Amino acid sequence: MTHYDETSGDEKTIIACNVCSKLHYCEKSFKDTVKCVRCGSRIYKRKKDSAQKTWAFLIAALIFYIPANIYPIMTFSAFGKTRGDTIISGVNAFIKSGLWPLAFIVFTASIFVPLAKIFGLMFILCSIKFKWDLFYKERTKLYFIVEFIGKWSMLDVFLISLLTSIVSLGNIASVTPGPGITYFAFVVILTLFAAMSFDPRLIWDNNNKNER
Amino acid sequence: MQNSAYYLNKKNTKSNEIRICLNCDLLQNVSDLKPGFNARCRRCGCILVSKNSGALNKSLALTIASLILFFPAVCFPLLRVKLFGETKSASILNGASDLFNSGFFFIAALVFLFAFLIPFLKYLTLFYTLLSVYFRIKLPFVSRVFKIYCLIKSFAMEEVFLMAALTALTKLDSIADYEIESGFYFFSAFIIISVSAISVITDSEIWERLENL
Repeated sequence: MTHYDETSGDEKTIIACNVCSKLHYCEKSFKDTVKCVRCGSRIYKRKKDSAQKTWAFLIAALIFYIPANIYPIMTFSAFGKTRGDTIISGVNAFIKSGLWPLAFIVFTASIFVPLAKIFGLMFILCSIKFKWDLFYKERTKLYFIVEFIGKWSMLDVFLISLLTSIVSLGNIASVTPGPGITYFAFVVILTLFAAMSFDPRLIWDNNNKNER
Repeated sequence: MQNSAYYLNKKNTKSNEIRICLNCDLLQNVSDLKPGFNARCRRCGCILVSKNSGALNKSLALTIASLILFFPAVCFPLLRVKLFGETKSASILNGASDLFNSGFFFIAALVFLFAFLIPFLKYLTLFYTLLSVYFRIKLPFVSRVFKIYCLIKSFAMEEVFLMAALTALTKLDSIADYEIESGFYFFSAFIIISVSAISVITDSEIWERLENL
């Protein structure tokens, strides 16, 4: 946000600190080494390399998403029989036993939310790249939704940890986490970092109408 | 020559405040707000300022309550499950140490980190900052502590853990008998109280008060 000083004619920039939102009046060509007077963190006009970092985290998350779905996330063994469950077969099992609300929760938390996060953020990043002059408010809202739902995909990881510690009766019945859950946890953490490194102000940089 | 900071301050009378929207970077004047009202950004509609009467008292009280509730919530068993004649009870710390002992270090670390350590640090740092702000004493490193709070607050996932416990209950329903234990009630109370502790006060208000200590 540039501010035009009427008396001196200098153009100054007002920048809000990324961490504590303190306003700073800086020269137009200020350096990255300026630190916030309130919280001491570095001041950037936008989060540093925001789009690049977000792309990197998203692509990494998308790569991890493939093994997370192929490998079983948990194995259930009872009386010598073992059965591996992938994410989708777990949801299927809930549907087959008629537990629709539960199937819905697990489907939302472990399939819909990660994909919605990855593709939602990718969509926003593409729209910034191609300088869309549309849907500013809606895109900001989409970012907030992505940020809000992010941590709920951790549900599957916690669920398996609980089942493992409860159902551990050796040969009679036991649940063990499979390799899929590790990849899935990476997907969740990477998407969390992606949402954190994205700067919503980038969406509005292209908007020159009704400023001030 | 007048510099622009001065110019802006001169324009900034008592009833007006210059605010920048953190989400769309629009600079705007915000007039004095009545308690209980929010000011929203003119362009993107996000909340700019929100005033809440007695926010500091409420949030300090609720933070203390949630810190007190945190330990029974984490240490007491959430569920007691009877499976093939054997009874097992599960709490967060127990579950994490069980997983660690059976060799699932990564999952154990995740549970310990996101369901125990980060929520605990989050409310501890918030408590420390609020204490300093409330009594108007500059406690050592208080702005650094609050910065830590701002950075870790989005990684606390205690409510997700509660939801996972409920899902686990339903999943075990067909093969086992279960009982809900005291930890579950403590945990639910902890979540309700801690969420309200955070929602009554905004981070920017705490930062402003910290600055004026």
